[in-house]
Amino acid sequence: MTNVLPEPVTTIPNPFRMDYTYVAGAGRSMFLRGLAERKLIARRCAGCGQVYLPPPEFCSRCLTELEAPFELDGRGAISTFCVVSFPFPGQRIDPPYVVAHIQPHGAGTRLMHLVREIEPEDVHIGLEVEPVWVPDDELDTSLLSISHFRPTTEGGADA
Amino acid sequence: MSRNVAVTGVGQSKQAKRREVSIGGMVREAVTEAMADAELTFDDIDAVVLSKTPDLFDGVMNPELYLADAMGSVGLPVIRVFTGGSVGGHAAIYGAHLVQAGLAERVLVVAYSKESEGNFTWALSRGLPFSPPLGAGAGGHFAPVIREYIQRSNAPEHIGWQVAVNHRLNATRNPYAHVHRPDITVEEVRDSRMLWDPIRYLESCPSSDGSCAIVVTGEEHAERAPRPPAWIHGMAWRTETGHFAGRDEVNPRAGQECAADAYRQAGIDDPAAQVDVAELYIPYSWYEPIWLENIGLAEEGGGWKLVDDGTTAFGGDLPINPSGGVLSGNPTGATGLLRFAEAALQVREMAGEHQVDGASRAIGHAMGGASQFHALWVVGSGEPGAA
Repeated sequence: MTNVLPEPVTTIPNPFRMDYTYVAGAGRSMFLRGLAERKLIARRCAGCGQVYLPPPEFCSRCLTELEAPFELDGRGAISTFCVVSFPFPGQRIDPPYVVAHIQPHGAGTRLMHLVREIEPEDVHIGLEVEPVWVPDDELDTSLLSISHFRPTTEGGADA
Repeated sequence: MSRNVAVTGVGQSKQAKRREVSIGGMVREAVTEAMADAELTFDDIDAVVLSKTPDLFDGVMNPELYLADAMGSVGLPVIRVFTGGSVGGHAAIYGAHLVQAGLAERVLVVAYSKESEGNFTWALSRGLPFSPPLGAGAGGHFAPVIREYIQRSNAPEHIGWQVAVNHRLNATRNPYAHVHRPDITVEEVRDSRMLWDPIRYLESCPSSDGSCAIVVTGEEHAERAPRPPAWIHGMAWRTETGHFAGRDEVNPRAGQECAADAYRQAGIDDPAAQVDVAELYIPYSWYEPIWLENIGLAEEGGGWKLVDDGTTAFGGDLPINPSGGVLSGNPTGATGLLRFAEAALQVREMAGEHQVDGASRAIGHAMGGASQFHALWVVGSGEPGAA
């Protein structure tokens, strides 16, 4: 016998894809539609006084229905952040870049988003930031309608 | 508790990248070891509980069906427990609840992940309208929380490096651990690559394949078990949503209340003094002080001092993760059950080279999601209520 057996097959790639139908619910749908119009829609809980951004229908603390929606301008302070410092496949931005938890003024919740237009080493907890919206033709029912946050400027956020 | 419940069997596989074995084969390794430890056959088992993180992580849908032969569960009731990284802890408690409620006499709890066969990052990166695609991964979620902890507690930065060294040295005494670095130093951790500032490479958990299984029984069987049982003195789980106004992710309320409930059941009012050893879910080194404070083993702002003075090192007064913990092996679906099982091994005095001398009461703890899911049990060498 001169035949040499091939190397045994130990793995086979088996790619698959998943499509999601995401149902946002009545409360968050209102928030998402607001994003497409450059609006940040919040709601307050009458029970505990906390303000949700994005707002669900019910307060997670009190389980009571939230009050009528109102608008916040998105200016806020950095609660905390990290600096993504290494490259990985599919990355959209060259590292290092800052991902922050931002507490919009008037809200009891935090948004997670990019902070740009500042060097990462100059970012600190408490830094005042404002949203930078994408151009009109890129607005969508998604947080991607906000391109990133940047240190608050004198004139206020781009309108 | 209405009825005493104990762990009488523990099994686990080697944690590693396990390309030479199938998922079923790897699960069977832990099941066989746990059944042998309890000296039971599948005929003795009344129900099986499977712990597993989301199916997408390793690409097998409904693994509770696929694994029926590997778990010996053909013809038995099977429950799949499903949270995040905490899932193994929840499954252990679920199994104990079945016995406590009188629905089963002996329950086999099984857990695994085979991350080398899937694409964890892809599975976690679903495009949802509330999550801008920041591509930051799991560490990108926890790193800001760590920064906030450091800011609040004024902890010096070497604490994270020291925890990483402690746990990796502990792992050298655990042959099942994935990562073995007997020569690791604080300087090496400090100089390792920055991933998500402030988290460095050597302060992060690995991605592992591995399995774990335990047998849970009522007191009638536990008292006749061939080896010492680990009696469950208290157990609790609590969940909070990942996004609510006023949420404190550095010190989540669900974690505090989960621990307080378990301590109350166990008759513990000073956990740091009344517990000998703890296995905590610490995927990044700074989570040691964070959880010490959250579950009441240290005062708020003081967790890092127990790292600094050596209290939590092997040989200290309150050793944390003598097995090497999550930093030394992280098969996510099994990681929580491993913490609960390692706590049981300690009070059974069956932890081998990483046995803590005289451990009679131990904590097993698991956390999942964005610190939303919390599970904790206190196990002891003595039967609760016994003289």
